Amino acid sequence: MTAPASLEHEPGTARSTRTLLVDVWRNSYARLFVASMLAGLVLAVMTGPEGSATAPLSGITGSLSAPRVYWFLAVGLVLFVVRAGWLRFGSVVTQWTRGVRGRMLHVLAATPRRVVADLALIGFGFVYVSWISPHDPWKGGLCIQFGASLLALEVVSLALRTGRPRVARILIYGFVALYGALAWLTGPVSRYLDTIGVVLHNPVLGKTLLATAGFLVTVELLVVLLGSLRARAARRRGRGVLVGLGVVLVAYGFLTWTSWSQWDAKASKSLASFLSRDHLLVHAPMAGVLLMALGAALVLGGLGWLIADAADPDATRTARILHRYHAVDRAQGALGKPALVLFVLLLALEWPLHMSTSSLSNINLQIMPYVLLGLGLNVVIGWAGLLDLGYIAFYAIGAYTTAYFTGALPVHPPFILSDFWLIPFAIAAAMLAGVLLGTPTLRLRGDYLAIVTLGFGEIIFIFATNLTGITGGSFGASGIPYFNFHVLTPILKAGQQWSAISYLPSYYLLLGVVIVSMVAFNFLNNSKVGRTWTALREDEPAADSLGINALKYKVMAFAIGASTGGFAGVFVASQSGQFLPTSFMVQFSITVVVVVVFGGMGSLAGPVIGAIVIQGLPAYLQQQSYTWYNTLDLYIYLGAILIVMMIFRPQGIIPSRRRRREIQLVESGGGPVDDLADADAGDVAWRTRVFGSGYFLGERGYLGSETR
Amino acid sequence: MHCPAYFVQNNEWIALVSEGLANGFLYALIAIGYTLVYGVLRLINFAHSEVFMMGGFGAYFALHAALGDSTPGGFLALGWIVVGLAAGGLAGGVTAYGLERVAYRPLRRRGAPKFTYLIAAIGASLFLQNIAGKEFGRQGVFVPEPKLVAGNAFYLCGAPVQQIWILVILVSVLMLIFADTLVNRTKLGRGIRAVAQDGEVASLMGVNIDRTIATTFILGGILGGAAGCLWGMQYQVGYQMGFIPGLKGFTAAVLGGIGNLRGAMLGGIILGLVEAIPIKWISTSWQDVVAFGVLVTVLMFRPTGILGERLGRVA
Repeated sequence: MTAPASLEHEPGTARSTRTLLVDVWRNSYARLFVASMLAGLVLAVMTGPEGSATAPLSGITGSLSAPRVYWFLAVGLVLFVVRAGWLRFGSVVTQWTRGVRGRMLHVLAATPRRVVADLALIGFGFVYVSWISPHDPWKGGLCIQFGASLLALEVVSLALRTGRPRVARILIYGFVALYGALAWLTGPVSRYLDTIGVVLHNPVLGKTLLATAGFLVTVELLVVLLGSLRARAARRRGRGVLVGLGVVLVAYGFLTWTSWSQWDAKASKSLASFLSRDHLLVHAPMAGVLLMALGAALVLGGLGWLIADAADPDATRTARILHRYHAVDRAQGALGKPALVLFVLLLALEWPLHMSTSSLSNINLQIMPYVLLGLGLNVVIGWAGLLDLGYIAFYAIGAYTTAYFTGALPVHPPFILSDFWLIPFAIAAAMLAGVLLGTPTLRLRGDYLAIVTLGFGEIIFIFATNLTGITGGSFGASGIPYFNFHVLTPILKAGQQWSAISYLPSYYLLLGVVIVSMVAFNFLNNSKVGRTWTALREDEPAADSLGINALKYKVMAFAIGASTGGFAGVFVASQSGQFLPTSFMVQFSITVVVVVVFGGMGSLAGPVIGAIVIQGLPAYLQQQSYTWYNTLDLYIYLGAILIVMMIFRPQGIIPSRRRRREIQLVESGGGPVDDLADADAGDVAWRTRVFGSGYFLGERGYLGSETR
Repeated sequence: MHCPAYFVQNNEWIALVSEGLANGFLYALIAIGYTLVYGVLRLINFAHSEVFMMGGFGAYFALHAALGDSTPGGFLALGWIVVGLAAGGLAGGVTAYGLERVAYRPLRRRGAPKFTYLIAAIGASLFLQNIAGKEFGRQGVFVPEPKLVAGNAFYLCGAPVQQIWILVILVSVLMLIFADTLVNRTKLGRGIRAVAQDGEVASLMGVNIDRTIATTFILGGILGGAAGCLWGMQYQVGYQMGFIPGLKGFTAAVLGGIGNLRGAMLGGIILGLVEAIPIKWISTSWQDVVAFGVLVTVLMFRPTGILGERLGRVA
């Protein structure tokens, strides 16, 4: 990038203004500065007021008016500083702390942002619970809970990464003991004195802290349990994981069930409130004592273990550390990933119980369907590598099938189905459409496919709008019966006063479907089918020459994606009871693409995060009705996200390992092998050397790699 | 003038065919943008439909600012049409260049996989379309029409032939000849063809690849922007005007054989006619379905298009 600034100038020759300007322009920093400032101004225009056809410049001049534009110039400046690489805290700290002493700091330097974020979260929770919303402790309480849990895990991971797995283990048990003690102390104390609450002038805070402690106890305990189960059952790994998950679910179910059965309208029915509920405070201290004792015993045992180990004359400290560094990384992965999954799972199970009706309806109608759509499209885009821009059509087919079989369309079905029985029909219909569209079009090149699917989405929209006699035309369908099932009724029956309750069963149904599809897709991706998809995506001619039936696997991916989309359609149709054909316009297909691309193509967690951010954030902003956010502007932001992601982080927020490597591979494809000698591209270099550098290039003549 | 009796009785054919022909020429102008970029980059420039849209807005703002509500006639009208086309072409060219600079060049520098280009192109399309909606209003507007544009030129067998159709066809033919000459006969065109054939070798021969690619984008953008101006005179200018014509322009490019300049012209004209004729029997809202059907059929049975695909041999 860095251009030779003044190569052609002899020292001493007079420079004209023009050559000076040219030199400045050739300086990459100057260009970066201009680009960053322009980006800030574009951002100003994006968030600015609307213009109109009669006064086209009013929007732009309004956006760039004096006091406002300074903020965005500042944003541009920050962008410049960040992009120029002048803000490398990590490397600064590393240089500053060379040597053995710096080892701890070095690891810390790699994670300061996370620690700062955790602390900020805790602080924010305290502020929120003390001043912003004293009578609704849950949001603040949850912030404290997450922050404290993450911080605890961070400390543990720090110990792990500095080569002290046993210290880490002791820390875990220490946390267990600490929180046990907290649960024990805060329970009776807050019952009579509300001490902590009094200190912070907030009576409910004591309960929140107690709940935090209780929540952390559970999480940490289960992490340890699962970790040890996994470690023990290294050979029977599958069974170990299953047993661990079973234990977790049973424990969680037991704890929450008790509170649910004691449910009343005023208190929330969560694990947290189970521990903080007044009449249960009798039990909480007992649980606290038990946990504290358990934790203390394990800490003492661990200390003994550590001392014995340190006294081992055969193992020098360095050797131990070096030997463990990788093992510990693995152990941390084995411990950290299930813990994270568990944490997220608990959150997904627990949080909706505290939510308001509007948030829940947002989740049910905006986020969860897009999680499903994203997961389905991820199979098509992320794994099979087929760019489908008409994905929403399958969603439409699912919705219209639902409407048809429930008799909500002008044409009447031969038999009316209800509840769950239409799900297989809708899925089959969507899958059939996927196969019918896919079989002829999937022979095409990737970019042709993109535009054919784009057209297909538009055609489905035209059909839906214009076939008035069949689809109800532009008025869509209405009067679709609501899902009627009784899964959680015994638990929730007391909640008649709480209107959000009608969303809860659907939420749990959808959550179940999401989890099942994630697990199923994970198996699929790790099976022969997934490997075939990878092969096809990375190099179709090579896969062809190995005798892989490309069409079959592509159609398979298409059909799987389509059926997932179809299910999302069923769900939304019956959840909202009505829909308009305008919900199936092309821009929604693109939204799903953004969900997948933003989250990370090919990763399972990616679409989930993507859906939460891409769908949840606008819904939240809309709810808050900020002046600077206009719902109509959403697609400007989505478009910008797509471009920015492709330029700076094509692998997405949560990249899949395979996809990241693939992008690295292609981007380094044309260069000499020496270029690949980066630390993290060793694998690539090896493969390039083996296959020859031209191997990973796409078609010949593709300018991408030659013009670097 | 003698008219066959059949056409006198069914004179809607005349109108359908001439409107289809006019639309077909517009598709051809758009298709050239797709085909040129495809030739040099092997990339469908999804955002080309937004280049077209920006051209429409450019023409609208230029003419609106200059003319207001007045409608000049005679030679003055001709002059204003040229002004509108120039403004449209300028807006289209600038947009296309900006696209290349912001969305594609960083990816090209990095040698990113094709997939990322497509997604960046979609993002650019979404961004441009909606920022235009935000800044220029979300209601469709008419480009101020000089008198030459409004009204019928003459009656053919009793069927009205609108002036705008004649104008569109004339202007398009001129611009197509311009593009064809530019690519086939000039040094710049030789550079474009060289890059399309083999970028690496072209750069060794002293072709500045970045500049050539940018020029290609600008050339496509000028044609697309002018098409946007003509479209706006005939129909409406609005921020969503680009999507369907863009899709059809691509269809035209594929129909004629992508990467093939004359194929794109032929494909556009054929597509315009093919989608116009069924209007005699079905409603206009199904027109897009016909075009899409054409696209899928062509891709199924002759993916190389009518005149044959000429990857690396744009001409």
